Amino acid sequence: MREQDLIKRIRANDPRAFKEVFDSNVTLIHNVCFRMLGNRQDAEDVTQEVFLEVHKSLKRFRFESKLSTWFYRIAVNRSLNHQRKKKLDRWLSLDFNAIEEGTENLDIPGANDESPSDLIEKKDTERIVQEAIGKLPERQRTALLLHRYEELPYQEIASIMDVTVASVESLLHRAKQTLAKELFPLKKDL
Amino acid sequence: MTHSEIQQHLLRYLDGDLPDEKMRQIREHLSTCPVCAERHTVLASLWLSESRLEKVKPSPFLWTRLQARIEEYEQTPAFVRDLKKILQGVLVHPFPTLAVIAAIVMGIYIGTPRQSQRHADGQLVGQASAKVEDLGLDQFDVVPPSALGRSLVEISSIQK
Repeated sequence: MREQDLIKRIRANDPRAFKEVFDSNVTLIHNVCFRMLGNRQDAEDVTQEVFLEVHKSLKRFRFESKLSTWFYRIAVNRSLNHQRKKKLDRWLSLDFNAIEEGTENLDIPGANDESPSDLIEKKDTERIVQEAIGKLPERQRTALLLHRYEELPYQEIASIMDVTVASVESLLHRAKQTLAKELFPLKKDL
Repeated sequence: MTHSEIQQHLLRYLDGDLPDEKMRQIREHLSTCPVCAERHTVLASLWLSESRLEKVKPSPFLWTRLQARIEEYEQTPAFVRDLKKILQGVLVHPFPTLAVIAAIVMGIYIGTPRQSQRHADGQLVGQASAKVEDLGLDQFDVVPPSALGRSLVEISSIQK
């Protein structure tokens, strides 16, 4: 009901309504982008693009899905496009040795109250898991990130990715199988 | 279940994401197999301790930057925005674009007559012109059509 009121106010050109949409969804969008892209700068750029898209299209939103599902869908698609464009730029500039996506400038949130050794341990853990997730195929990675970090139900992930619930289960199953294989040697190599 | 099957399912086991029967089989296997148990411990230390629930806070200036972009967007003419969109599409999906360009180039190449073909065509035109001159057909070019029509009317009236 609140969502519908907000859209009505946006349609009536109430400037505060879009700010309310921004405030209540910015952390959600930014986190999805950060998990998909692996660094804060790219995540902020893509978050801006997502809200620009939302600003352009919100007046036409028809409530066929939840507003948050629609936001997730735009964030996932924009992040994937951004990543493809970056890969292409790297390929065109023949810079094959550039740092892989998902592993550069990886910032660990909320780690201020821990000892340095805990912090290093945590950073290593984060890096290893993100590196392995970053190597997964695009669709498996998307399903896993939405499930693991956003804790979304299969039904909503299916709606965001425009696939069936069975496909989501299969993507997650394959992603976890691959990760179980990949993570062990990475940790042993430390 | 074999060692390899157990190891494949370890992350799903850690997430409690398997049927009860499989969960039980893996639990029993891990209590007797040191190799799989070691792998389980290593994976658990990674998978369960990673900061999955902590949220990353966006920059406090994000709203200001977004407002600037919205203003810029609203001041840009629609055709410039459309052109930008097309160019972005080309960059994100270069292969279909390259395929279309390749098809156009191939079409032009196949549709353009080659040197030998042009030479043969020239010879044919030359032969045809000679034949026209032999038959005197080229005279029709210098007689205006109106004159021809008048002559035909006169001939037909004489015959009557």
